[in-house]
Amino acid sequence: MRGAGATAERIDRTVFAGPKSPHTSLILSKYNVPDHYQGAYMKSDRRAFFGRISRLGAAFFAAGSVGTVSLQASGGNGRDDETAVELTEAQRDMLFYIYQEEKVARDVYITLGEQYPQESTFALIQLSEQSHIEAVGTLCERYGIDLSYVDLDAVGLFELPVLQQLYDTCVAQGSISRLEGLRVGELIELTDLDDLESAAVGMPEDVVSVFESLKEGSESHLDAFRRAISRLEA
Amino acid sequence: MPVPEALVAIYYRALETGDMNALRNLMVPESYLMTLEAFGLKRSFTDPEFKALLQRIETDGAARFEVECIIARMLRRERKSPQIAHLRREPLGQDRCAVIYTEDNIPKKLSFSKQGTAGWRLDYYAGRRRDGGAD
Repeated sequence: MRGAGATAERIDRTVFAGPKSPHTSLILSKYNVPDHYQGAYMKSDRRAFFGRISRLGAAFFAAGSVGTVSLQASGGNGRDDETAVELTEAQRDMLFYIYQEEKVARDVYITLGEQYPQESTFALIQLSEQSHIEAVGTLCERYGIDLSYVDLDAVGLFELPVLQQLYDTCVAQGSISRLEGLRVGELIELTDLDDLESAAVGMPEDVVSVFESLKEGSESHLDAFRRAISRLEA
Repeated sequence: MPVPEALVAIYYRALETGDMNALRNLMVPESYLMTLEAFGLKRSFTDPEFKALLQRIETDGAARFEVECIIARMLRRERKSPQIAHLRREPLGQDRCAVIYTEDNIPKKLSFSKQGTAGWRLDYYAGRRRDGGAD
């Protein structure tokens, strides 16, 4: 077992480059996401395979990118004992909770996207949220966290009552109007940024690196929601 | 000391009646704050003053007390009383477990960790199976 220093030496390698998950494919087909958007998603995936994805610029986002996430550090698709450092039990608990929490954001965007089909921001960002879930899921697998009993298919349903409460509240508020829906999105992303910042404290470098990618994605989403809000208010 | 299944009943009763003392006593502190945030979110959308209070609950006792009072009133007004049934306990390691049940026929789960002599406490972060025991 090697420490965080060893992880840093190999930080340019990425592992999140697998095929689109069934969830992503479902979202892509369900919302008739145009080909060039799907292309952007796949392009980001390939970039993740070769090296760290940098924060996507506003111009690229405007062209349809949704800020997919790269998962960095240990090589291969599974756990790499040479580079993965140990997490404390509390850190594993935190990762597991974040995995479930990421689903709240995705499901809110799926539901609001169905309510406001004319607002493409929701459809685009839910794809990225799916990649966030997958990135955290890959981390969980690397650190031996069992995810088998988290059902990602049940959109809008959460076993944990506190997450159900968050989802229900966000959807109820977002259902008031398209503008309120976008504001809910803005709030979710702001909260996500804050949560990831806190969760990263004390985590090993590979986890921090993934969280940094997630934060870049959230910043990109935040920009998109704010642009959509400005557009609608204007 | 109440067993986790009994704590599930207390949790729902506390939410129904807005009994924040009961809610606080059956949870680990972090989960209690998360509960306040989740139930306060609705009001924070429309009330900037409340939102400012909610953001300070971790560090400001007076802000937390005010938030508790407002959420208690809100819960009493809503007075939700879902039907809780089919409770069963699932061990998740030596010091934690989950209670799986249905809330109005929808599957739910609450996790608990053992807090020394205080016994079982509701702990949202304890939902993962931990085979190796405590840290």
